[in-house]
Amino acid sequence: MEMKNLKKLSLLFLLLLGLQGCGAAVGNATTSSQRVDAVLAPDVAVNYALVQQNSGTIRIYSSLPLTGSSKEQSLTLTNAMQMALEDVAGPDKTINGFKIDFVSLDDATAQRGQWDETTEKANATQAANDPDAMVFLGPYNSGAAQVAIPILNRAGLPIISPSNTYPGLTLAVDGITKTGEPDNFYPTKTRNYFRVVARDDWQGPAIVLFAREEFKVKRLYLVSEPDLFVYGKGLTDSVEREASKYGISIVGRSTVQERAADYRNLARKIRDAKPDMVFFGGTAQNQPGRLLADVRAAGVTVPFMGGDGFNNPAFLKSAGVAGEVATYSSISGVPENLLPTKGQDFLKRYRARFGTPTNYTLHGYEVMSVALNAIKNAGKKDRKAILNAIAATKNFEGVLGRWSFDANGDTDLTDFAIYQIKDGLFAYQRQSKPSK
Amino acid sequence: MAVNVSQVPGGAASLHLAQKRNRTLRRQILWFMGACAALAVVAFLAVISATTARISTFNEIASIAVPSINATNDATQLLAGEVENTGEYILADQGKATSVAPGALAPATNKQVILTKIEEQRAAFDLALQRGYNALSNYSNDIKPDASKALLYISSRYGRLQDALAQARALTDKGDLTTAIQAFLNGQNDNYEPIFASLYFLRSIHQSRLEEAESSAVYSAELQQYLAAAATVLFGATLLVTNLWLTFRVKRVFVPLLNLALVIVLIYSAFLWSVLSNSRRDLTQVVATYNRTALLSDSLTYITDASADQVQWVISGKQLVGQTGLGTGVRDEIYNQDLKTRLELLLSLRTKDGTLLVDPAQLQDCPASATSRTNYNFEGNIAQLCRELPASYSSNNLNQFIKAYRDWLNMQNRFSPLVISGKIDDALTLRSGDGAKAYAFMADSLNKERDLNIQDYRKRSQQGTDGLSFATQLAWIIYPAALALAAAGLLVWRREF
Repeated sequence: MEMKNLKKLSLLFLLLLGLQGCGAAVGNATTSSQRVDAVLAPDVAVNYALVQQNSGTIRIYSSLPLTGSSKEQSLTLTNAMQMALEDVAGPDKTINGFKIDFVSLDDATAQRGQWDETTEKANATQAANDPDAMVFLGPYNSGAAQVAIPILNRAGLPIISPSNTYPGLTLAVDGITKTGEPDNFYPTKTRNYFRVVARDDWQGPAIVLFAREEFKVKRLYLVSEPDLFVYGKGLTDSVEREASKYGISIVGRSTVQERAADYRNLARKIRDAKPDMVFFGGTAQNQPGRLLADVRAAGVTVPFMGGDGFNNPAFLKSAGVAGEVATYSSISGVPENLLPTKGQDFLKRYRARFGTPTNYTLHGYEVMSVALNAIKNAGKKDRKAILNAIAATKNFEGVLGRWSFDANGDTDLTDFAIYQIKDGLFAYQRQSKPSK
Repeated sequence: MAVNVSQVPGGAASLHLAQKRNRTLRRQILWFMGACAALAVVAFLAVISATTARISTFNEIASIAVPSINATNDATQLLAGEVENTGEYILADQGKATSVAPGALAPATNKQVILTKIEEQRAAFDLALQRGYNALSNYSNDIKPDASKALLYISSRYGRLQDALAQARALTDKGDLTTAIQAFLNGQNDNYEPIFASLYFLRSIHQSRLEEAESSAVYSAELQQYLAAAATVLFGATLLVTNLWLTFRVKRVFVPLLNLALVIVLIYSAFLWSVLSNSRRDLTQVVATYNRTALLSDSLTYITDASADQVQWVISGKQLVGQTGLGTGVRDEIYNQDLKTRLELLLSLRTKDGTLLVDPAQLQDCPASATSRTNYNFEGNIAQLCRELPASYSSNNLNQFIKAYRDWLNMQNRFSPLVISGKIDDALTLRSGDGAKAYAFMADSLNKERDLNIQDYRKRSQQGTDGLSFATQLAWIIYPAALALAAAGLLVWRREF
C-alpha cells in the first residue's frame, strides 16, 4: 500500500514536472536563463531561444525587398524557397513531425523603393518574438543585415542570407570593414549568421582578375553608390585594394548622388580621366543604368562593370540600349552548365513552373534547403539546436555544389561568374576565381 | 663755350649726315611700327574669325542636337501617354470615368476617342524616334552602340510593347478582362523601362554634344571677349599717349586722321566687346535653356506616368473569390510605389532623416526673386528648375504647376482610400474630375514654360548669331580702314614737317 502510494506520489510529481515543462514550452513561464537573456535583449520582449518542442509548427521567415525594382528578383528567390520546402519537406511540408510554415516578409517600402531600416527592424522583431520562428532567411541587402543581425542575435534565431556580400558581417577585413565589425553585430557573442554567397573581399579580387586578364586594365575609374549603402562602398574598397596590389592606377573615384536627374558632369569627368575600365559598386536601385547611359553618351566605350548588386532584371531594364556595349557584372557561383545535376535539375523545374530565374534564384533554394536540413538534423524545435545544426553544415550537396560553412558562417565557395549584357539579358562570359 | 657746328670744318656735313640717319631711323621705326600694327590687326582678325568658326560649329551642332532633344522629349511623353491611354481604354470599356473623356460618354465612343489618340501617339512616336536617331549620323563615330543598332534595339522593344498593348485592347474588346489586364501590365512592366532608358540615352547623347560644343564655343567667346577688351584698352591708351606725345614733344596738338582712326577703332572695340560678352552669355544660356526643356519634359513624363500608375494600380487588383468587377481585390503595390517615386522626382521635401516627403501642405511656391530661388530647398525636377531659372524669367508658370500639383496630390490623397475601400467608381470619377483638371493645369504650365524656353533659345540664338556675324564682318572693314587712316595721318603729318 505504502509502495502503491509512493508510486502514485512519484507519478503525480512527474506529472507536475511534465506540466511545468509544457508550460515552459508554450512560453508561459520564464526560466532564470530566459530572464538573463531578456536582459541582453532590450528590443525583444521575450526570448524563446530555450523553448523546445517535439511537435507543432516550425516557422521560417524570409525578409526580402518585395516592393520596388528588386521585386522581380526577390520573387524568384521566394519561389525557389517554396520549391525547396516542397522538395525537402514533401507535399505535407512536415519534418520530424513539425509542420513547416514559410512566411515571406517584405523589407522594402514604397517610399524608399528599396529596403528600409524601420521595416527590416520590424521584420526581425516579428520573427524574434514569434515562438515558432526557428530560422530567418535573408535579408537580401547587406545594410539590411546589419539591422537584422543584432535583433535576431539577442533572440538566438539563426539567419541564413542568400545574397549579403559585405565582409564586415562575418569578418574584419583591413581597408574594407569598419572598426568593431563584425563583433558589434553579435551582442550575445554567439554567431547566428550564415551566408551561402561569397564575400566582397573575394568578389573584388575576382573583378580585378577579370579586368586584368580580359582587358589588361591599367587605369580604373571607381564609382560607388552613396556611403549610407554599406554594400557599394565595401565592394568598391575591395576592388580598389586589389587593384593597387597589381599596380592598376585608380584614375578617379566618385560617389553618385541618390536619385540624381543625370550624371553628365560625372560622365565627362570619367572620360577626361581616360580609364581602361569603369567600375560601379552598388545596387540597381541607385541608378547605375542612368550613369551608364550618360557615360556612353559622353563617348566612353571602355568596359563598364559592376558586382552582384546589379546582376538582376532591374539593372537590365534601367540600362536600356546603353547596356549593350561592354557591360559586365560578377556574381557568386558558376554558370548553369557547371552546376551539379541537382542545380541544373532545379533550374529546369523552376523554368517550367515560374519562368525565367535570376542569378540569385539558386541561392534562394539553397538557404531554404540548408535551413530544412538543419531542422531535420536538430530533431527538435529548438533555436539553439537548429543554430548548431546549421553551423555544422559541412560538405553540403546543394544546388550550388558541394560546400561547407566555415567558423565565421561563410561559405567556402569562392567562384565568381562573369556575365555580359547581350540582347537585354545577362550572358555568361567566364569564371573568375581569385586565389588568396 | 658754345660751339656752332656750322663753324666747325666738316660740321655741317656731319650734322646733315646725322639728321639723315635720324630721319632714316625714324622712318624705319615708323614702318616697323606700321607693319607691327598691321600684323597685329591681321592676327586679331584671324583669331576672331577662327573662334567665330568654333561658335558657328556650336550653332551647327545645336541645329542638330536641339531638334533631336525636342524629338526624344516628345517620344518619351508619347510613349508614356500611349501606355496610360491603354489603361484608360480598359477603364472606358468597363464604363468607368476616364481622364481622357471625363464626361459621360458611352463606352464604345469613349474607347474610340482613346483609340484615335493612341493611333496619333504611335505615328508621332515613330516620327520622333526616327528624327532622334537619324541625327546621330551627324556626329563622330565614337558613340556606341551606333545609331542602327540602337534603333533596332528600341524598335524591337517598342514592337513588343505595342503588341502587348494591342493584345490588351483586343482582349478587352472580347470581354476577357483578366487576360487583357495581365497582358497590359506584363507588357508595360517588361518593355516600358528599357525604351524609356534608351530614349534617355539618346537624349543624353544630344545633350552631351550640345554641352561639349557649348564648352568649346564659350572658351572661344571668352578669348574673343578678352581680345576685344585688350584691343579697346590698347587703342584707348595709344590715343592718349599719341596725343600727349604730340602735344609735349612735337608741339603738335592734333593729328586729325590718326586720331580719327584711333577713335573709330576704340568705339568699334568697345562695341565688339559688348557683342562678344552678349554672345558668350547667350551661349551659356541657350544650353541651360535646353537642359531646362529636358527637365520640363521629364516632369511632364512623370505626371503622365503617375496618372498611368493610378490606372494600373486600380486594375491590378487580383480577383478574390466571390468578388467581381474591375479593381477589386488585392492590388499590386508596385504601381503605388512607382507613383510615389514619380512624385518624389517631381517635387518633394527631404526630411531631416533623409527621406523624401510629398506633402501638399508643405510644398512652397518658387520665389519671385532670383536670389531667393537659389535657396529653394526642395527636391526634384521642379525644384531644380526653380533654382536654375534665370533672373529675367518669371516663376509664374512653375507656381501654376506647383498649385495644380498640390491640387492633384490632394486628389490622390482622397483617391487612394476610395480605391482601398472598394469605391472604385467614386475614385475614378474623382480622378476624371478634379484629377484631370489638375493634370491639365500641370501639363499646361509645363508646356508654357517649355515653349518659353524654346522661344528664348531661338531668340538668343538668332540675336547672338546675327550680332556676332555683323560684328566680326565689320571687324574686317574697321581695322584695315583705321590702319589706313592712321598711316595717311602719319604721312600727312610727316610732310608738314
